[in-house]
Amino acid sequence: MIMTGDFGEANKAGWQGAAFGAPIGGISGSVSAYRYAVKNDINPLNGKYNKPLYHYTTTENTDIIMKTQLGRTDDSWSYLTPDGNKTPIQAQIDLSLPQSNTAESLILLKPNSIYPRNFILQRNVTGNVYLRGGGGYEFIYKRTIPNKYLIRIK
Amino acid sequence: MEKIEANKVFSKIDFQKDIDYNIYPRSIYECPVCRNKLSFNMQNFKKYSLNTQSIFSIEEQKKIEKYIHTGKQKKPNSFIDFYCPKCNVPTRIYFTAWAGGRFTGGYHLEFIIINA
Repeated sequence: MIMTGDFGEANKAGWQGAAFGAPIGGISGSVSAYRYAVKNDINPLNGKYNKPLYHYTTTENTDIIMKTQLGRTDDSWSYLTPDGNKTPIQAQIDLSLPQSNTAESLILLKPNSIYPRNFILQRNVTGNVYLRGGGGYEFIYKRTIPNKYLIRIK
Repeated sequence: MEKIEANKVFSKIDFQKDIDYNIYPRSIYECPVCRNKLSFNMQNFKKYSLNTQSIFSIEEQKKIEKYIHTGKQKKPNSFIDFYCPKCNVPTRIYFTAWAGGRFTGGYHLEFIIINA
């Protein structure tokens, strides 16, 4: 602390301290934000999730999704998985898909398309749902996904 | 030409695959002109999902399209055209086909246009 006894000098000294500290704080904050983004697969430049995700469904549903969007309203839950190499039967088991979902069709969600803040769950799929084993990994995303971010794989 | 919200003429306006898959519920449509009743089920909407074909004459189609464009409401992605079997009034049901969730999808009936 500088003890000049002069309020004006003290104020000036304070502002000099702030001017010196602010860039350090800013740099430190930016570095930790960058590290957090990289660790969590977030693009530090735009804040979007930067890994591809997949949605297994039926051909009929894919036709609708590719012409409209994934999900109905912004309250809809979209189920996505990072593994796009599953066979239909494996997808049905691992992702606990209902019997009516034949999983013969696969949609890719392009990287850098959605914001991770809208993920409401990231988890291993619990078993015994629809009499399936579970065990796959899923992301549950609470928003619709416009078709411009989607690519039909099969 | 008149636009009527679906909930005023249909007994059920939402069909969802995972809920309605095994029970095939129906929606009863009552013609606003002659009160004749028609039954629709999910398969009817599935068949006309993202439909672009019409059974109406070119003139009738143009009239409906023009009428729709004057409204501010976004045009739904699917429709079914038919003539009422009793009073023969041209009727178009607009509905939205959607898909998503773990595996679901469905049809939401939005409104009808009658060319009375």
